[in-house]
Amino acid sequence: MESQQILRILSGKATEEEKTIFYSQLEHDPEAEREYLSLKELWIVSGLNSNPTSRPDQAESFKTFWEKTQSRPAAKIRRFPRQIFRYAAMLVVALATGFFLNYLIPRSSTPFSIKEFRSGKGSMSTVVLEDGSRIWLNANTTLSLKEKKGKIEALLSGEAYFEIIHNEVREFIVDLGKIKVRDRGTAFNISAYPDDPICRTTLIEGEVELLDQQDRLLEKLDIAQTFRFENATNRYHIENIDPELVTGWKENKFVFIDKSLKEICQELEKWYGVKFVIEQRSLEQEVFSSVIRRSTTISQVLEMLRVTTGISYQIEEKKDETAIIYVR
Amino acid sequence: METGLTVNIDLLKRGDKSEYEKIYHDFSGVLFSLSCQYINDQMVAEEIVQETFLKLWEVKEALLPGTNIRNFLYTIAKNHCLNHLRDQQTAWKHLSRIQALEYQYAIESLNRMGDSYTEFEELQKRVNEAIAALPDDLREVFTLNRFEELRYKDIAQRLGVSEKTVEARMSKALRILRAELKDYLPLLYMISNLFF
Repeated sequence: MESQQILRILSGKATEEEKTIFYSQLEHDPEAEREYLSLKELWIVSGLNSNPTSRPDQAESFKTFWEKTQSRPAAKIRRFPRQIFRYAAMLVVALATGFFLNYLIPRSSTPFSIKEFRSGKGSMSTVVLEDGSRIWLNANTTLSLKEKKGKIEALLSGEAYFEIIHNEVREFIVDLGKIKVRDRGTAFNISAYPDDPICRTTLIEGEVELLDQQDRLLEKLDIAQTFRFENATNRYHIENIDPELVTGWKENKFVFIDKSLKEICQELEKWYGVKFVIEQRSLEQEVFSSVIRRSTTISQVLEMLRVTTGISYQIEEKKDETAIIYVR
Repeated sequence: METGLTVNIDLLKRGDKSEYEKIYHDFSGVLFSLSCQYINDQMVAEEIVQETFLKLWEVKEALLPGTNIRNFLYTIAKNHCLNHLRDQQTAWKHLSRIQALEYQYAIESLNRMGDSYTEFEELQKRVNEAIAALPDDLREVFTLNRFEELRYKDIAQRLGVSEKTVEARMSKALRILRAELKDYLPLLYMISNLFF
């Protein structure tokens, strides 16, 4: 094999065409494969000499690390001993595949018994209550927990997955503005983003009840049912759904099954903090399916979309480090 | 790279900030650089570094005296990288054969990297010796590119030669290094081959 060719592969200078030729060749030639792997090893090892101790953000990196250690181990944090939701821990889920995590820090200005948690764009977090109940927050979500007289009220804007340990003497209610969700010992997912005209509550395990603002019972859900509530019209209906599709985000995946390009773009916008412009109207309602790990970079996602759907795109980066992606 | 730094396990166990800072300063750059080379995404690499050190923090109370902290951190970081690459490979499997193959070879390559940092350092020592023994014009180009991360264009400018010449020298240097290290690189291959 040409050493010039290998060099272009190793240094990342090879074009797609060169890569195709190269890797196809390797696949069928164990000798070339071994040779390449040896050279790659050599290449990597020689690259580690670039004085890595002088990484520019090293001090900053250590600071971030140290701050994280201060909220671990979880068991030692006990700040609100008299309350039911003394937070045994606020864990930030570190899904091995690495993406940036924001800390959920209770805002100091809020009164004692109200705690607010936020996860920003492109991050995901969990809150663990003292009784072991656990709440996962999807990107761009705010959750505040208010405790009063044996009742926890959660206000949600965004999407969260609740795993609530049922307790006869304390109620757990999620208030979504026009409707409420009452836990009866369950796991359920709620998606209620402010810019989404529909809010969806899906039961994964156990029981939940849907109530109106006057606490009148609207519906009880069965497992794998979604309660779809249309905010503008107050209309709702129940549909059956594969729970895995609803909770895929929690497993660090985007799951798009028969989603319109418009919906897919909305989801990607939330996670990557970019803006999509679909230039060709007819594309908006075209339906695609895809499963994508969230750790994938936006450029890889776009490439994947391009390859699988045939759409083309153009990225315009703006001064404030946001980006607009034109799809056509 | 020198490894003169001694780590005080007792201080790590107690969560002593300056001891963590010391090992972080000493070693996070190596892990970052290794992750970066395999993953090509600085944000992910940074996250892997953080997660690696957090793992150390989590298990600190169980550390045994005499534990080689560098080996420990190296293994954790390597596994994080492998997981990331495997995820990517799975995602690309049905989309682009070439992309998936590229990840597959990255995984194999990383798998072949020694299981401990001690082993890795040993290889690094030999590589550095071989680089030092290169003819001057080749060594110059090779170290400017690999150590100082200069692009061919900048190297060409600095040395007053064409980019083509730079590329040719790089390629020649690589060939010589490979030949010099031939006894060493395949050996590693056979060792790690047993584990696949």
